[in-house]
Amino acid sequence: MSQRVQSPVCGTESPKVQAQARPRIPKRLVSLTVNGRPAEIAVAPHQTLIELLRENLGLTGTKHGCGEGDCGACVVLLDGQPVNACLVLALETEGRVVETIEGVATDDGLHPLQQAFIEVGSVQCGYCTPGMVLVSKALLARNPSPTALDVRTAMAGNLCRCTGYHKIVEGVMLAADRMRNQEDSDEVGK
Amino acid sequence: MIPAPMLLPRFDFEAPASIADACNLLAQADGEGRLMAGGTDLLVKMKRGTLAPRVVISLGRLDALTKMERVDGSLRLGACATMSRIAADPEILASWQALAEGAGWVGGPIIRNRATVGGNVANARPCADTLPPLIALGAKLRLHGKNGERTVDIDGFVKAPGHCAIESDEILTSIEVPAPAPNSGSHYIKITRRAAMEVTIVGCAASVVLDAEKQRVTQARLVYTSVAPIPLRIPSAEKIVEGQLPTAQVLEAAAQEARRVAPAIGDHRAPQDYRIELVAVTTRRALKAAIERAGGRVN
Repeated sequence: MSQRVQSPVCGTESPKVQAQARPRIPKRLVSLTVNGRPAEIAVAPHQTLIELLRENLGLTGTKHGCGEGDCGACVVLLDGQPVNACLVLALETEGRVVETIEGVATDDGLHPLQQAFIEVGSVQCGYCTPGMVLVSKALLARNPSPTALDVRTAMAGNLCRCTGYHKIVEGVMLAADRMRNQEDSDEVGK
Repeated sequence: MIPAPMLLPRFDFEAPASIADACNLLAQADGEGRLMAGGTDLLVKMKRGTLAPRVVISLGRLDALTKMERVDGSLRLGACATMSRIAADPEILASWQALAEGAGWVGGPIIRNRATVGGNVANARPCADTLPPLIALGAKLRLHGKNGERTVDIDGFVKAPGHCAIESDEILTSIEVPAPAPNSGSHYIKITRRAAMEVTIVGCAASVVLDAEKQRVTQARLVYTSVAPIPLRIPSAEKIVEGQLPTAQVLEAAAQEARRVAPAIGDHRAPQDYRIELVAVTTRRALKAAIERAGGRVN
């Protein structure tokens, strides 16, 4: 029998680093596009994208949950891809395009996903909803005809503690259906 | 108001525009600098207070590091290629299956849009999901330092949890995976409680090469994650399969050998006995899948 080591190694934390008293680092300007509008904002290096959105721009639709990328409440689209805004530094978004839940509806009204979420009852407390809508929007952009499993797989990084997910999946499927039909009738109208 | 523990401590931020600048900044930081690729691990540690670099050096402006290209049949992955791209790439799915599978198992879909393969390797966590496939596929690492560049074998690169054989001014810039041999195949299995957002309980990558008749196994690699403090290869189990017709008995013998020698750890995710059992199970299953992908059959 070979020697077996009994030592926990996975996910163990190194000892806490003594928080050094550091001088304040001057703010820097970051230029980005948020919901189609250019923005130039002075931020400190330690500010994350969610802080920039909520505190500098007042876009409080993006929710802060775990702060560690586990819950998906803070999802925004960065150049079209869903990311956790709590794990992106504000300064990293220089020159990039951000879409938040506030940018999903248009002048014509709610996005089909938002409309379907309301009709189906995909929303209970609403805290996970912005992240769910944005993840679904990115999914439908690359796969307009997802299966229910595709939807669940795309949402594997978004926690909902109210609905049990069924109604959310239903909402996305309904929106996908309507968006496809809309596209078909647009084609016919051409 | 965001709860205080979730705020980042103060640090300075640099986003160099060249690899040389990045190496210089890293050297100047004198041990108090940290490279950031996707940030999905670094920023969490900084929020928790287990890491507090004075300066964070972002690799985000180095476009060359995000490239994924074929070079004479082999695969060159920029260190900042994201897990999402690797997991969905048709060529990687066709020729380096275990790597696509390992990348597809990291975190969840949103994390994978940011997490990078270079970060997963250089972080050197005991549970990294891309290390076993890359080791099983014989990858080499390209390191850039202040005084030049060098290439090292990925097997042996990780020295201890969180520590690898890299100098303090060096940056992992790309990973080269050799062209697949004819009649070869690979597979990565990850055992967890849930299908996403989980740390691996046991991960096993197998890669095999079959002879021209697709009968005998000429080469086998078995590499495990979350079994030992660093990625674990079990050459004695590989040898049991090599040169043999891959029968169920041969695979079982390899699985029993892996079970016998694996220095499995026990922790809050799974006790030692359970991990040892999983080493045998994953060995058998990963070998079978790799052999079938190589065009062989297990009788």
